[in-house]
Amino acid sequence: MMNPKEILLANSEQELLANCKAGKRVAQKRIYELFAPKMLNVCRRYAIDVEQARDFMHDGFIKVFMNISKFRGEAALETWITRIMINNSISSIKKEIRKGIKVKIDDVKLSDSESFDFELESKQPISARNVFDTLDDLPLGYRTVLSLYVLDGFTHKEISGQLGISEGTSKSQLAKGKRLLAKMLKEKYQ
Amino acid sequence: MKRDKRNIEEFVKDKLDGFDAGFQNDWSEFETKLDRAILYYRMKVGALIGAVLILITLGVAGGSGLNTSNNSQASVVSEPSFLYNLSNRAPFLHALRMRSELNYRTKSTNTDPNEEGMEPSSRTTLAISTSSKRENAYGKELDNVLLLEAKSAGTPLLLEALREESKLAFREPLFLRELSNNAAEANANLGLRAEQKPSSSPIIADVREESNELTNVANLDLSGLEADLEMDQSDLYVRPPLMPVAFDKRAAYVSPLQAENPWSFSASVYPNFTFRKFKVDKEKLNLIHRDFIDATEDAETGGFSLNVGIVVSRRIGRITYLNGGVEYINYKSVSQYNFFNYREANINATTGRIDNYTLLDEPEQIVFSGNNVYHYLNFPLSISHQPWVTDHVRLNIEAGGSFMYFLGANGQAIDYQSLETIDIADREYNNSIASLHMKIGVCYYVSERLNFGLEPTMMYFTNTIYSEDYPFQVIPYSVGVNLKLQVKLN
Repeated sequence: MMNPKEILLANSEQELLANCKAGKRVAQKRIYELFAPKMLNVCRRYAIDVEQARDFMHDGFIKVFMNISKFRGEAALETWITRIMINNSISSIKKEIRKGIKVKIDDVKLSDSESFDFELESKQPISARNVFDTLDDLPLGYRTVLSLYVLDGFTHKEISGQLGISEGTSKSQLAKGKRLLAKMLKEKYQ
Repeated sequence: MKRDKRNIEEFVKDKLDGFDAGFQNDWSEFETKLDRAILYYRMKVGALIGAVLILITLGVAGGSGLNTSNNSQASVVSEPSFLYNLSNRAPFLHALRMRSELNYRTKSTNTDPNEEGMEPSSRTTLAISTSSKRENAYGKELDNVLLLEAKSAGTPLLLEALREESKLAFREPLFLRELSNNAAEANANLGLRAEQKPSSSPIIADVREESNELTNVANLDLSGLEADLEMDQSDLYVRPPLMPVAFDKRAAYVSPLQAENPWSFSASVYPNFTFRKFKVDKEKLNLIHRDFIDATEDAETGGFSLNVGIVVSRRIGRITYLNGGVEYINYKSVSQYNFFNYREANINATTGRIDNYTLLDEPEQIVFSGNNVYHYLNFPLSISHQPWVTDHVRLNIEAGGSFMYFLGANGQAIDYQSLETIDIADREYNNSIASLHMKIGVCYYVSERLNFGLEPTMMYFTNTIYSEDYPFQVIPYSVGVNLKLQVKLN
């Protein structure tokens, strides 16, 4: 059962949605200001820099408003918008991603559930910015698969469909990406 | 000192969950982009609706014009000039063979009623001119042409004989129709007479010599025609008629198996064997491992494709067609490598190109064999000229182009730089290819609906599916042979 605040928010979202579907500019602006900060974070994971991330985000919101009438309400609005942002970002850089993905067929034997304990002794707390910058330094293929799997909750099947690669390739990219990220964090901050 | 020990995935997720990438409210900038996008969308929808309306208008306007053109086409097709080459086809002679099976009517009062239903062995003689002068009414010399004209009285009989023999698509020779319509005028222009023996009923039973003005006339014994269709053409040339005959030497022969409907829809299946040549692009040597170059140039030289599709054809001339359609192409090539790798390539992470090599302590033999399959959707458009050689055999001379959309690839190959085994689906490809083609082949028509053929084909590709990093110089030609099976659907 939802609490009063959730109910209020839900009603507000419904009203906002209805006005947005009607094409009201005020409602569109409200939705943009509500979700843009988080969506910029999402797009930044797949972009080279902030400027490209901003372009991805703008294109994504244009698609959101053009297709808002197709939103059925089966999932939360934020989830739906996030999916559009990711799809849009990935499709823009698909060529670069596939170029960066080359893997030995034998590597598919690596288990994607291979999670190792990551131990880091650092002199000072590691901030989100530190982790993000390190993630940003990963090769594009590793970074994309890692972000999709770990941060955005995609399955390997979804990732393979999204990027046009095999599931085996997706698993090996994730395993290699995790190892390399751990190694880089240790080298930088340990 | 801070110690952090946990699962790497949880670590990253915790840290980046609330990460702020530095958003600044830029609604006004976004609003401009949104307005422009809405405008472009409305223009696209408007253009699409406009295109649909134009197509509908053209379809309606063209439909009424089509009926007219169909009629004129039909008239051209249904009224060919009568021109037969004896060596290929001899309908008149065939009709003569069937003479004994026909119940023919005659206007002649001399016909013996007992002669109806005569035996095949009865004889007929035809009177023809042995004049050496062989010209038509327009004074043009005839070559290998048999022009036979019946006296007016005999024309209905001959006409009926030919009608009895004809199949559905057989078209009445123009000259006979004209003669039958102008029977009274034909008397003075005879080149042929039939002399009837009392006990026989010839095919031209009641052709009578009404004029004594005919000269240079010799009798030709047509007995035993069933066994001997090789006739000395010099015996059959007739005195050219004085009455003009509609006659067009340029009209091509049309088999009875040719469909009358100018539109045809058919399903076709054809395997195709192609031969290609690979050569390393000299300017891209740093995109391919040095030890791999020779092996690759020899490894892939041919392939097999299976094309399955729907063909829509519209006859635009007597035997000329405009063809279009859609087909699925499954192209398979076999890659086989067996070579030694002596050095390891050092690949620049930024440029993706090989900077230099490091010699291996021991050479490594690489043996690889794999089938690669490429899937395309092809949209061809062509013009073909299809003359009939016989009733069942037809040539196909075709030229056109096509647009091929790349659907995907399956299989494994060796990476050009690292020499590791990779999935070819992970390579980069262009989405589409355009090509021009030319075919010269022969088809055998089992029936109007079913034919199969052999068509050597040459293609020229304007581009390839491979990206800029493809290290080979693509030779844009391919030569192949189609084995076609076509089934007409309408």
